[in-house]
Amino acid sequence: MNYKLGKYDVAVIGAGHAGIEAALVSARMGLKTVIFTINLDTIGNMPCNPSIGGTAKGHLVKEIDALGGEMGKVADKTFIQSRILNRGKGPAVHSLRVQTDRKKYNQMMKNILEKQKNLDIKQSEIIDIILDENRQIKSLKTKTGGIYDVKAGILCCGTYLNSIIHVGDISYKGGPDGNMPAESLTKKLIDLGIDIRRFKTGTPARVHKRSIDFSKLEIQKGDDKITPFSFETEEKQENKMLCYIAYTNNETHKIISENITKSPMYSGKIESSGPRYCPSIEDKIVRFVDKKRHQIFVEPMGLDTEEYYLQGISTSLPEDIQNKFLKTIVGFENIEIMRPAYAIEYDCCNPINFNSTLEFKDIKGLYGAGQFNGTSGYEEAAAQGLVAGINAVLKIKGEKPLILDRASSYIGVLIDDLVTKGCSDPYRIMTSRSEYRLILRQDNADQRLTPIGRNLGLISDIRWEKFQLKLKNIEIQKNRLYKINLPPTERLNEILVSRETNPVKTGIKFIEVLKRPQILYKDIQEFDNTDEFISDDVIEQIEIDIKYEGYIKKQIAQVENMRRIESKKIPKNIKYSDIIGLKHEAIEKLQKIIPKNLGQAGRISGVSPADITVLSIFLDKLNRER
Amino acid sequence: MEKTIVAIATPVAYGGISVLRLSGKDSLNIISKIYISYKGKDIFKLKGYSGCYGYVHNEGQKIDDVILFYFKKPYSYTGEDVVEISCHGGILITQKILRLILENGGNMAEPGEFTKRSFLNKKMSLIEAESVIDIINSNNEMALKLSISNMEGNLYKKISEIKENLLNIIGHIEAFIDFPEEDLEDLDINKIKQNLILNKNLLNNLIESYDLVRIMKQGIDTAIIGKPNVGKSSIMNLLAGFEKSIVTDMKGTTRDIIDEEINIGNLILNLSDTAGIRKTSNIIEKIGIEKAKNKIKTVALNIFVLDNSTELSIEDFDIMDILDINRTLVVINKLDLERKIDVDYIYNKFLYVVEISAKNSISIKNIIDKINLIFSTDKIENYSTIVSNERQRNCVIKSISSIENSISDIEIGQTLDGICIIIEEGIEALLELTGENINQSIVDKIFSNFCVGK
Repeated sequence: MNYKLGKYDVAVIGAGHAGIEAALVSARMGLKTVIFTINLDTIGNMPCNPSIGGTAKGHLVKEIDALGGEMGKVADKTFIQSRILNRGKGPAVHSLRVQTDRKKYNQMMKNILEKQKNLDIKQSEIIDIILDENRQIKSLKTKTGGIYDVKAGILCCGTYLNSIIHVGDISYKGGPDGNMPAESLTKKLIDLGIDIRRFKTGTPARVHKRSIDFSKLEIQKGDDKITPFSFETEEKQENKMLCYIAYTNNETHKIISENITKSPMYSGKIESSGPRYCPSIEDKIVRFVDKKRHQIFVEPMGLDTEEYYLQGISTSLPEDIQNKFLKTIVGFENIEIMRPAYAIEYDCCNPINFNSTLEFKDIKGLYGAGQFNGTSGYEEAAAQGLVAGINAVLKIKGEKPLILDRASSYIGVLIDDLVTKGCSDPYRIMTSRSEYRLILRQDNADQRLTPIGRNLGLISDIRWEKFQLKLKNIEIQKNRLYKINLPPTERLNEILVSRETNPVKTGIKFIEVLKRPQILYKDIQEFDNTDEFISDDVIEQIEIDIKYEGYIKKQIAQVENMRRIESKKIPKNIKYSDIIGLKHEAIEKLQKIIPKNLGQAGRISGVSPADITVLSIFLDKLNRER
Repeated sequence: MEKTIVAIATPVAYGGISVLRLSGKDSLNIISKIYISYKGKDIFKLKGYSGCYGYVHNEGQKIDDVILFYFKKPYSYTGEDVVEISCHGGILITQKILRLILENGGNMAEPGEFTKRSFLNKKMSLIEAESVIDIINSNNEMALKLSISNMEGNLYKKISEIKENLLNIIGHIEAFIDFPEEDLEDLDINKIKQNLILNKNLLNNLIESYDLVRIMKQGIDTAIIGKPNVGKSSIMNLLAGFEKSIVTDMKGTTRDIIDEEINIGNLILNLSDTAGIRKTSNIIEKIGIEKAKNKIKTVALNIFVLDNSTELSIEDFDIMDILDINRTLVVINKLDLERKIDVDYIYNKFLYVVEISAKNSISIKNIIDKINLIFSTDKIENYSTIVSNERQRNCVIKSISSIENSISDIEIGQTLDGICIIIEEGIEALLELTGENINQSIVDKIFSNFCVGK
């Protein structure tokens, strides 16, 4: 029996990290929104690592924050240890990463959703998506027969679709973290013509605190001075717990090698693609034979639990073998597994099915985000959820879509990679994926994206004023510093030499000294006679602007070049097979991906520069005919 | 903003006149750096559709007399500011001027780019545009063929090898950056620097071999040297196939260097007949002799002519002292006269010797065979597929300069994020040759070489 249960503008399917951002942004932009989840207690759950951020991922969180997203704010409130990775490797790759209290994060997120105006939360499994005759989404059907009429739907189903858990040769139907899988939706999606495939991922064991001998492990502390993710976070932050490092050894590797055939990956039972960057311990041992040991990060799951997470040794070996090899590790001699490691196989879609708005190319009003799109990671999911949510709203409101290009943000890089190149294994963002890294720093994420967030109505007046003030201060202080000249005093040279740079014989500009990689503002602050208070983030911006001026200029020129090519739009209905001169492979790829502009076309693998010239001439000819 | 492009507009051929064409807003700017009008005209004040006689120079050193034509935007072939330079024909001079323009900010035009611009600026009809597509199309296929033959070429292999090396360096740095929590081997910045220097040197070698092959393809600079009246000009005429030098029996007839570009089978010789080398008090002759001696040191091939009928003299020994035996062909002339020369000495000292009589036209074959031996065509075959153009050479030069910058950035202590960008720029220049995408290459490298993951 089916029955009508309600009418919404936007429906979000799944309440993980993608679903949360999608639902919140939709409700905040004023549309009537509903979010469905199989289990209300798993909103914003972290079934794998209890951490947020990391290289490039930290950048994503800062960008989400600048666009008014929630992830960074909640991470700031629930973290138990915070560190900036890659200090000393340059500002472009500084990356914030925090350990979070998993339960608190999940509870806080649930509460934020509950309190959000315009947003309803339903515990319900969606089993059907109904389109109208124009292939526009019309309604959703729940497992219990309820029908919801909607104008847009956003699929954020994570790893729930037809998921199977593997532990050794045992496998069973099951979602992540002991949840129920979603067994009906895949078939419907295939009926809608969506290209579905199977990925797998894995997670390591959780162990009991009392079974670890911490005295034998290396300690890993958080940063003394903590940087928050969110521009809005002002309260003082502190580290609450320690993390530790353990190592595998020869004995560990021997046990794993001897039992390798018991891993479903190696027995041939799992054939789907796993993430390359996050290999299981058995993968690491097989692929990197020469490595004598592998690192394991021992991380608390929260303040009110004894569970510890073992980062770096995900596996799908049987539980007894897990027990056996863990016990060979120094400090783990008496280890007690609470939740065994497992691998999970799930259905997801090929992201080249999407436009850059994350709307399906041939289903109006249906969007996808997160692991369903073939990515991996909470941050990647949240970023896509935000963009899909914003675009769903903009389309309903009849406004211009939000498409972030590769030079604007890591979010732009992530989405462009997905929709242009697709992915053959779960996609993870990395700094090396961005060609404009020196511009896409986490320290300037606010400058890059806050104005966009403000235009969308996602940035409050208070925050906007604070942001404007920061920009003004950077300008004022920079101009002031540019005017300071330093005489070649003994004191100056003493400082220069102590920082291992050359002394000066004649006068020098303050900013010329600051340009030297070895010199920080605080080193020469004594020569800056000002009573004004200059905040650390303003100093940081000035230092980066001055020190990296040359690189930044280079990158800006590259960006201008890229944007020039991106501005050459390709009409949707173009018939590639009619274009004389295109190679066969190029025609095939272009037809499949339907690039929006010449720049995107050029990034498709199999499309050569010569093909782009042909295409470019064809387009100009087309424009002229009109 | 579109770049200013340049290309040789006339077919590559010998003799006659060659035209170089520039198009884009910097055309006059670029030319102003290398061109001087004989009448002292300011080229920036030229009217459209006007010409101007002058010369092209490289930092003051004159290269060729040329006529410059200026076509002011939009009344030009491309619809942009266009400058055309008509210089004296010959591949060597045209290439020299082209290279000068590239060095001064010009960009090598892609196949069909002038026509493309012409079309985009509405200077061309639709029918004409269709034919452009055909041209580009054929270039596409050509590029494909070229890349297949390049696959087997040594140079392609070398570029790939260097590219791999650089990708390894950057892959290592990137892995170090992207996976800070992995137990990766620490970065030794000095080792990276050494490695960069090594690859820079490899690229430099490549440029040298490019240039060697270019010499072979575009002409081997050759000097005919020897004492006065041994028959240098006769041999020149023999090679050229017609009378060029004024040949008399009087010593010292050739007082200056006379240039001729001649084609001998696979090779082109840029032949210079030089003044006979002897002690003289004649000032003009002295200058000629000085020039000849300089020529010996700079050319790729010396044809050293000796007279069969006279004994070796002090002057001959003087010349022999400055000759490089690897690039010298000794021609013993006047075989029809009685032998007085010490041939054993010659054969012992030199690798390539040929005995002829310049009066006998069959002699020419003997000389050409020997030259072919010196510039073994095998060497050319190996390189010829890829070396042929300036655009590719430019890519390698760009790569070298990026690597040099990255090395100096390491030296001043810049951080890895910035250094990476500069090395990437260097790789990108090489990838332009192999047609790959840089970011994907790096990502692949990270995965294949390092054990990473959380």
